[in-house]
Amino acid sequence: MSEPQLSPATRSLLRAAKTDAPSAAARAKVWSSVASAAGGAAAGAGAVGATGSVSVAPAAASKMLVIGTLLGGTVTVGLAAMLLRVTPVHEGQPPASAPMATLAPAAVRPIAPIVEEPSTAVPAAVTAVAATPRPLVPIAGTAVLPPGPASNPMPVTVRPQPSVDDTLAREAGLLAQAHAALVHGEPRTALRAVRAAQALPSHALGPEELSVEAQALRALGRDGQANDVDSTLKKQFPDSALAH
Amino acid sequence: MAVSVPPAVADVRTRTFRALYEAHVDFVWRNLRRLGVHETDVEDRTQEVFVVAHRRFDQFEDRGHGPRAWLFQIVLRVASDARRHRRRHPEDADGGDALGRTAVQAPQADAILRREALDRLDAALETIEVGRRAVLVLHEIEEMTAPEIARVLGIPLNTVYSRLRVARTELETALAAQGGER
Repeated sequence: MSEPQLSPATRSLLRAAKTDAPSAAARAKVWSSVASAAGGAAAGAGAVGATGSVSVAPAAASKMLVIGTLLGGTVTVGLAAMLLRVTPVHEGQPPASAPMATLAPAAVRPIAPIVEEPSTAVPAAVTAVAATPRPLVPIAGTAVLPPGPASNPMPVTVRPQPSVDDTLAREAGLLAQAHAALVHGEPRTALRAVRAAQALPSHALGPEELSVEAQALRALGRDGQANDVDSTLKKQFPDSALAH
Repeated sequence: MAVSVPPAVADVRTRTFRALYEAHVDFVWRNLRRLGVHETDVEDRTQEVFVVAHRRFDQFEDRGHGPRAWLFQIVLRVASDARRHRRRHPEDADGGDALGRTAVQAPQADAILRREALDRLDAALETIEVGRRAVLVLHEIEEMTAPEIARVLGIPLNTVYSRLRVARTELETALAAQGGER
């Protein structure tokens, strides 16, 4: 890989690019968003550990819960909660590392168990790591590992696929977070959460996601994009109540 | 169906993914930028990459290339989506919030010069087709070897060499055209 050679000026620019990185604040902020958008599994291990037991959400019940939350239907939410057999996480106390700390507990609590739900299968990789302790970065602070090609904290593994219910529960949790963020005047957070939900493979809650996305965009003053999303909603889901 | 999740297992998984994030967030961030993700979008897109990575975390199988090769494949797709989205919605993607953040950062001279240099580089990279750009970025910035790049991108070794050769020439031409050799 020697021809053609780059000029010293170009090499200087490329050297500058090698050290391009987010600020510490941006790193922390993105991690917080990742932890939140990843369904709490990354950030909410403490909360899961506190309960010790969670229920697997049946697909229909998850969807009903989200729709109920979105539409404000108390009966629907109650029925869905019964179907889900959700065990509340320390009633009255937020999770130790709640990713949506700025939200009022009243809005978040009914959906928190879904958000915090981990994969039900114990990962082979995790088992291997647990059996063979290796140095890991402390979680509590904002400790930073230096990046580099040699660093490889990932265990080598082949693992079963997550279940459909698991994915749907994550999608439902993200959507509920998005809605809660909207309610609390955080449309940007809502947009992030709903986009993360849209990135999931299940896509069982498409109309609800588009509806929340349009509301978030409108709250951000991006009316043009909001109208585009509304049009998409009406076109893709003409029978949905949210399309009218 | 109630399923017990041992706290230690969840905690180890969390710590492992957090370690992955801390070790590679810079890599993801700068490659998103070099692959055409706008400054105002890069936080959201970095988040997107790691959300996808988290979703597929348990399926990741290290074939000896480390997580960077795996993450770069996600970066390529997310950057492609971001470019497409920006073409359709050219207005500011986050309502100007990111620009506001830039404005309140300390205006240190060296930081400004560095920012300008990166802007020039990114503008020049924009002119290079993304397949060649990926090869150039992986070799010249991430210091990967040609065989490594071939594995990451799933292309023949000779293609790596030819793309790199063309991309270098295109980069020099683009920088010269914008006065990049000052």
